Amino acid sequence: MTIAFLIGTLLLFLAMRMPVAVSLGLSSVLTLLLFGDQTLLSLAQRFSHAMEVYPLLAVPFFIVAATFMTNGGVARRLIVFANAVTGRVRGGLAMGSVLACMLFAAISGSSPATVVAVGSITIVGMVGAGYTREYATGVVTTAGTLGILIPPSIVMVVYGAITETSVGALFIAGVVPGVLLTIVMMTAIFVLSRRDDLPQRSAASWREILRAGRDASWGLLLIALVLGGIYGGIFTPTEAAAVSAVAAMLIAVFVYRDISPRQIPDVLVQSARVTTMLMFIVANAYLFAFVLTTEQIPQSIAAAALAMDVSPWAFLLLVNVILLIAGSLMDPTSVVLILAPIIFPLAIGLGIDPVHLGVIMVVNMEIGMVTPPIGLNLFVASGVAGLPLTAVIRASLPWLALLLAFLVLITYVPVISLFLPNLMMGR
Amino acid sequence: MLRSLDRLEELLAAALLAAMTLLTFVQVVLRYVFNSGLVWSLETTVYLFTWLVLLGISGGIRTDSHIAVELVTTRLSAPARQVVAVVAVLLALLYAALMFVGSWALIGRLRDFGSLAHDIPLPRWLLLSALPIGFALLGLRIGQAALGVWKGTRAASHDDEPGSR
Repeated sequence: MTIAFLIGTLLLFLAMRMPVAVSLGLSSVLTLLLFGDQTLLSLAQRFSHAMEVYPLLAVPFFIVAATFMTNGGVARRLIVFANAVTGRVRGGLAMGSVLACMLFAAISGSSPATVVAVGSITIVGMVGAGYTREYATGVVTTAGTLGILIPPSIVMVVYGAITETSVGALFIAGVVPGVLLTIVMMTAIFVLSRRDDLPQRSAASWREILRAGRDASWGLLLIALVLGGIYGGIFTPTEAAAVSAVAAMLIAVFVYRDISPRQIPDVLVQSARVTTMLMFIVANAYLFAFVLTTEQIPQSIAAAALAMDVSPWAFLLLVNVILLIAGSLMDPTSVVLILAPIIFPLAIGLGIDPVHLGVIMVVNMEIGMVTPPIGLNLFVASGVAGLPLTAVIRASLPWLALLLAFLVLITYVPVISLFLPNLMMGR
Repeated sequence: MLRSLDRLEELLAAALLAAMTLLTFVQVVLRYVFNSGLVWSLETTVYLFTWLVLLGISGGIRTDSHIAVELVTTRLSAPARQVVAVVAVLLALLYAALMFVGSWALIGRLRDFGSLAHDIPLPRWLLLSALPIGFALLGLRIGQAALGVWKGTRAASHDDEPGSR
């Protein structure tokens, strides 16, 4: 009864176009007032607790870093470098865009931000070189999803915080799948480049590659600083985020001079807006998770599932289907915040590794971002490329099939995700 | 007047964000380069974060940038959509009111106990007064939006802000 009321009101409020944050908060507050013995005071306390969760402090810092890098020229220089590297083969510009998405994903934690940063430059470039606008858009829309798989990743931070899983371990676990997906996409472009009749450019000389590399070196340095710092155990993810925010600001303002000091407040205002919006959802999700825990809801679902004797294999299949549906309707952070507290205890009960589950959820969220009706990357790409939404959806469809195959691989071959964290953290 | 107030709100948020970023950065530098640190740094960052988020929520209502699911309401007829929008606004108002009551009670309790923050010489009720203030502002902004919906000046549907996540 409690669970029916909680989920029912949540879905009703969402359907009424109430903000996700308020829907989560109100359904939780009402459930606790009607069925629980909690006071409003303890709920307010729970709400403020979200801002005290140390890993979540990384969220605003990564957002500041990404905003400086998107507005500044870091992204542009990384793209020039990526294109120089892949220049010599047929379909090189498309492969370069995928590589650029991977590089940008390694300094930004958001997929739509990756699509904007890379797509606003490479789509025009590819069209100018003779690619169709649809093809160029499909590639960037899909490769942009790497933003949340390759660390840093805001979705991973949120998953780690709500399930109390190590964000550092999640970040490390995202590396191999992220690089693998990059290679798979680039290979697919290369293999099909004749069939797709993709143009070929004259090869870049080693001198040109070196020059592009030198121009992009500050961006590459930032990647090394953030990832090296986390993997080397020097920084916590939160500290790495703060360092990269300050470094991104210094690079954009003083090294590349793409942003004048007078524009800094505006970049911060923009970042603050995104931060509060995300954290408002997160704080309310803590209320939601609080209801789930105090009312022992995951335990009762777990008991029912256990009685049905579900195998981990079938369970993961079910989880994927639910996540794919939810991901096509809502933004990744909301989906993870709503479903992780329910799925997590069940998965642990079945012996599934928490880090592996995190990667599975992230890959599902990647797919959700290119699945209609609500796919953030589709919306953003439509704006960036100047194509109608339906055309973007059609252009991304072949890639969607590839992503689904990748999801199956990640789900049923846990070693892809767990190899690196096990090796580095001696788990 | 109202416009400059909005701008002030935005700049305050930017200042809070800048402060917490710099504070954490300085802490990292102090720890790894100079092998020392500021004990009050983390707690201060947490409270800056709390104020940033709580003061920012109402601004999100003003700019209509909170994420919502569009799927169902866009299929309703215009009058039905209007009714749903009014009910939604009233429910959001209920949320703000309940959370305000809860946070008011929270800081009242903290005041009675006279509990101090760990590393900052300030009472906790003062630091957490961001909560009732934030929810009161949220209620005001929702009320403002409610008037808009009532008069029909505020569209019942809008596009999500792209590139924000």
